[in-house]
Amino acid sequence: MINELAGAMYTRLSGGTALTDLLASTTSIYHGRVPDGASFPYVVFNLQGGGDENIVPSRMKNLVLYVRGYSKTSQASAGSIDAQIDTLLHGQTLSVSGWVNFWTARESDLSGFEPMPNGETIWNAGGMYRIRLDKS
Amino acid sequence: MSAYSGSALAVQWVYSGGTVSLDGDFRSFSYSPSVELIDQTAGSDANRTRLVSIKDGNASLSAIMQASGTAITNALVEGTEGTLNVGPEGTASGKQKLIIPAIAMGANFSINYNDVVELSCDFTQNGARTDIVW
Repeated sequence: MINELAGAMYTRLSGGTALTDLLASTTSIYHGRVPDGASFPYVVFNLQGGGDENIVPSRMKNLVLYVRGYSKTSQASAGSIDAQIDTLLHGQTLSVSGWVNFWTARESDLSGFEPMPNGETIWNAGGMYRIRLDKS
Repeated sequence: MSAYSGSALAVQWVYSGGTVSLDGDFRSFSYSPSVELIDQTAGSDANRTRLVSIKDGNASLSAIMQASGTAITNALVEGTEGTLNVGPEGTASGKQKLIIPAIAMGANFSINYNDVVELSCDFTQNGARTDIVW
């Protein structure tokens, strides 16, 4: 199921030209780990927590994904990426193979920066998104 | 003896339109038998005594609604007469089975903005319950 959800997230985010126009390339969207040397700006998402609901015999998932943008330009640049992510995810429906996505909503906002050893600063901005799925 | 969870519950609703399984997306199910009592206290009785009279009962189902699903709500239209076949431990051979003639009191919806839509239905017993095994 994680692979199917990751695929749906990539399809959703990479399909948003307003988002990809802000990134280094249309494929600068990564699940979990970013490859060494990847160009900025980019988007990273990962499964932060959650799992089965176990409230009905059929299968339901209640998951939280951390989705954020990274930029070497400014905090505002990372924030602009985050705004486009929000537009693509909050209240929208993902096409997750084998599952019905009936709830996708942003719950928490996060932003920060990382001073790098070479003196550069990398800013990030993003949010936690709760995604609920029902086995189709 | 050992405890068991409710996850194995089997509930079928047999009505004029066919048989539907109500356990596919159930959250809870309850059955409460009851009996009327006739007060026979009189005279100088110091303690109340009663006669057992008419038996009755009701059942209640709570389940998650499925998108575009209408089969269950159609089967539970208020006033629909049918029979509940209930298996608290499922339908394995030798497990408890309750057969309860009943009248559906209608499908109720509970719709919350940030939660799944829930369907509930009460059943009023409509005859004698039969206690057998599957």
